[in-house]
Amino acid sequence: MWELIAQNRRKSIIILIAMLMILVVLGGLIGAYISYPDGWIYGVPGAILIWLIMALVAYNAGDKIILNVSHATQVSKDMYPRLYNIVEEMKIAASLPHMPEIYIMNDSAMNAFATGVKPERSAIVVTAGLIENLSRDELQGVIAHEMGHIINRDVAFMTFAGVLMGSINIISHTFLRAIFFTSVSRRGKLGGKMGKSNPMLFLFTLVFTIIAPILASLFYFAISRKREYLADATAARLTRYPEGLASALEKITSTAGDVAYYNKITAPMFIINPLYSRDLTSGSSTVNFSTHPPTHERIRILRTLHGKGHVSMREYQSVYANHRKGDSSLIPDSGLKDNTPTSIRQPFAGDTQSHKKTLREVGDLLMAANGFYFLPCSCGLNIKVPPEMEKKHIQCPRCGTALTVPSIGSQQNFSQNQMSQLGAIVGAVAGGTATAATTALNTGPLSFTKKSADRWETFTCSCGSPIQLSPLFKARQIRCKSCRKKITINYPE
Amino acid sequence: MLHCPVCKKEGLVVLEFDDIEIDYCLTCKGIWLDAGEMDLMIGNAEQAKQILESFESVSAKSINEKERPCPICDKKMEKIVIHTVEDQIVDRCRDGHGIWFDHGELHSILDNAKKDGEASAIVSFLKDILERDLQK
Repeated sequence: MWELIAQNRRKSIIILIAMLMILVVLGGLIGAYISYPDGWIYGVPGAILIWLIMALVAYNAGDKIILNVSHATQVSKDMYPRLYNIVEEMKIAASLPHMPEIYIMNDSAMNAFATGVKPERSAIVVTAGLIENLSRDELQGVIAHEMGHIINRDVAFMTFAGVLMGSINIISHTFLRAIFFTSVSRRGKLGGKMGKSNPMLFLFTLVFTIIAPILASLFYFAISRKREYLADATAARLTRYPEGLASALEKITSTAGDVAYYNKITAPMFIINPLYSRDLTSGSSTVNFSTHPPTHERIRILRTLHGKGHVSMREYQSVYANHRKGDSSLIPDSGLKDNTPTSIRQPFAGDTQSHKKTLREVGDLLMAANGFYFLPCSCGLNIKVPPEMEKKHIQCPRCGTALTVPSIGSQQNFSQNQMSQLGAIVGAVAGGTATAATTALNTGPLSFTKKSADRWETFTCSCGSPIQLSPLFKARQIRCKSCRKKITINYPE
Repeated sequence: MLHCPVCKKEGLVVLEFDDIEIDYCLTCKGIWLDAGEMDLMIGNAEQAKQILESFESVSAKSINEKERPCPICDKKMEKIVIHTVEDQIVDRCRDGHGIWFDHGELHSILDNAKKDGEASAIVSFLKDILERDLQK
């Protein structure tokens, strides 16, 4: 496997150098155009500076930026164990020392991607649609594929190459716009000083600026396609069940639907490129420009591998070579050495949860992450209130019960009021004994009683911050995250 | 958060019963029936789509009703006719995201709907979940 990474790295470096050359030439030419003929002295370092700044940002905050623009929500183990367990399982199978963070994108389209420049700071992002529609085996296949990207160090490369491609794009677009807008306003001066004294160089600059982004993306896409096969091979090895990923890929491509938050840079990171999702099934003429190999081919290779009854990297390689007419350059020999084939495992049997239940589970999770209040009514209706809603009193439209967003503070106030009313009466008779009772209530333990055992529930702490109890919360006490107060949780009989 | 197409700034709360959700405005008591949830009520995505598309649309001008934005895509919804004892006009998203019912419309539709119609699963679900609301 180390050989694999090293080979990948060598190739990556060659590609990165080629892309860097494009950037340097581009910077030089544009510099020369702006201040003819010696401007290239500033142009080259200028372009590199733009790239360095962007790379620095990507290295330090790239993953956070990507997660932000993707509108992804982080999930913890107690929020969604089904997904967490699969990721943990694959993390152990891949002997990855760090658990990747898990994020869910609130999107009904099915897709997934991995991010993070360093393996110890990686994250796996899946869309809600993916968890809702895939079986456990299929989901495991997708997670293993993303895990493959992490352990093969694809994420780091793709991020840097992506930044490089982005810098080239920005520089060339800015230049082209500037040139065409100024030439329109000052007619007849197209090309400036450079155009007058060296029209050939000007023409070359213009053509190069136009083709540079195309060239850069060709390099970028060429390497990313092979990485997809490699991640598929890794997924087959980790799951010992190639059919899982194959049928997941089939499901993902067959459902039309676009991920709402992606752009040209993040698109190649998805398991199925959202920009090309419609063309991939036919595997048509977009082949050279697509970041991902035609999905039907990936599925065919995985299915053939599954049919063999056992998996290993070597096995994948030979199937790949068969399908790709003898192309055996996917995995270097040393990567195949200590790869004893393991037999295909049985499909996972315990997947009995209904589609409807899974849909609700994921929906509730996303609502909880977005701060919705969960108010179960005793008639069985669950009311989920968005955090922006100011109404705290709601009448159940099913049974008419008046519901209040429960807060331990208000429960206490209520009994306190009752007590002081009572105290007033008692006090009138016996004189001031009620004060002791109210004080006791004030300092007494805070508690909240859950209405149902298997539902999300929300209440407000006496400090005013809401507390979400997941359906899996079974403990006797919870600590308020903002005021650190301990709150006792009681359960229905 | 989805916004009520009638009260505009007011947010919709989610009502869930038996793992099916509808969106409900606490102020005007109108409901938003999401296309995906209709699938779940009927249990068949194809049939749900057919029902959603079966209603004929009328121009908003001819019936003098304001066009309303779809809570999901914010595009103007079209007016469609639902034939019961008397015709009811409701709003449907042109991109198939779902249907919006005003409180009054829903009341009349649910009261007069055929018990064995194609949409009977939806009718009985809504009658159940809004039981108290519909009595008034």
